[in-house]
Amino acid sequence: MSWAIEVQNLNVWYGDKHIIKNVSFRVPKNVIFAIMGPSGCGKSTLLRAMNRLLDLNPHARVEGQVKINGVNIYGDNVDVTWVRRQFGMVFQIPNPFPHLSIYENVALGPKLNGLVKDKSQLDELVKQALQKAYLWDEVKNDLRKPASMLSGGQQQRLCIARALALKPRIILMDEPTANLDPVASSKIEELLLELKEDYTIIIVTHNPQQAARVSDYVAFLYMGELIEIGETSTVFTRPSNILTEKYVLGRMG
Amino acid sequence: MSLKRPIDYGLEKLNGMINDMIDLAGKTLEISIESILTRTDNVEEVRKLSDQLIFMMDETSELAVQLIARFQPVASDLREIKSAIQISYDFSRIGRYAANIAEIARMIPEEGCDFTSVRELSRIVLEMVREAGKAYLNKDLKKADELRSMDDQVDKLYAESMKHLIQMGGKINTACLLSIALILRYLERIADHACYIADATSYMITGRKY
Repeated sequence: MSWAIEVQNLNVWYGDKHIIKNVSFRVPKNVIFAIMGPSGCGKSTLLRAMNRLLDLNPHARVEGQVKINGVNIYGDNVDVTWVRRQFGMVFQIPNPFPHLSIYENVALGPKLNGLVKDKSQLDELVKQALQKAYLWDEVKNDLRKPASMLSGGQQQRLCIARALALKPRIILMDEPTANLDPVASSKIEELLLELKEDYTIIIVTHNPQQAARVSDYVAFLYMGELIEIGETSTVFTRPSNILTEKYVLGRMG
Repeated sequence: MSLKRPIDYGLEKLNGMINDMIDLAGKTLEISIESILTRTDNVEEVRKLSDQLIFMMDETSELAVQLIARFQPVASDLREIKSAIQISYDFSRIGRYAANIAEIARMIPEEGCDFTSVRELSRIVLEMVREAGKAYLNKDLKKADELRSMDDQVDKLYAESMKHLIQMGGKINTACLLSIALILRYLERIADHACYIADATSYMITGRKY
């Protein structure tokens, strides 16, 4: 079996604080993999360790391995830009560049990274990304308008389109619907199911129901430790660990 | 002491309804067996109790569906609800078979029927129905296991008694023979449903199929 990503004995410290404690797991390709757990359990830190976003935090220290296609992204001679290009990332609060146009939000990455030769290629790439994010039909006549005119849900799909335009292998999502209303949230969830045909999606959520609805596999993280990992249908019908059971039943804390 | 979750109020109500069904099913079966052994006509009463059990089954599954719709239960909550639906159905079937048994009292001749095998089998089956209820209420995995071995005992006794009846063919009153055969058959079915209740109980506790 070839894995989209393999995490081995991963540890993260912020200063003296041990945030992620010897976590190991593997994610198959083309699945939705959810990481769930209560606030402060280390979910977002784990996600940020997977694409070396933690490098930007001077207090963070990472040990262990994260492998994509067999390459340890923390190994020597690994180009961080290459690492980041393997991942698209979507955050809790939609963060398009508000003053740039809808078009420019998607086009900026490919332009800066030299992914396209000319304007018509760029146009095509922007259109494809917006179509894949199921936003095209809603914005095709407003491409030159600023991204700030879009609704929250549309802005989040624009962020997804922006990530897709860079042709990543893996999409990391950090509570992508936490700030959206239920209708906009459902749209994102539907979109995830479409996107897993072409990408591997790792989604962090503090909403176990969301993990139950959309994911194929789910990991339960508690106080920095990986408590349980398994097929979503198994974890939500007969969790094997009592802490997982308490968490999914809403009996934790 | 932690706060109750909203779903807990519903689960308690569901449990209370199953509890009532356990009592009623035991009572229904007891009266129907009594009517055979004492040759009294209790058909109307047993039918009424059986109808009541069916009504309670409908109420139970209605509440179960409401809980699923409102709380999207998972893990042990979900298994408890699934088991409640199954168990309430089993108790309603037990009620129906009890009514069938009571109805047979009307075709039994005044004299000459030997109900030893019925007496023996009904004693075990009635105990199984009561114990199945207890296993569910107390989430008792061991008792659920015991019920499965009691069912083996019932099957064995049933097979022996039927063999004996066939040998007696022509030697005893046909109405007697048919009555006893039917009652034994219904009792054997009731024991099966007690066993299904044990299976649903074990599933509820462990999440494994039995």
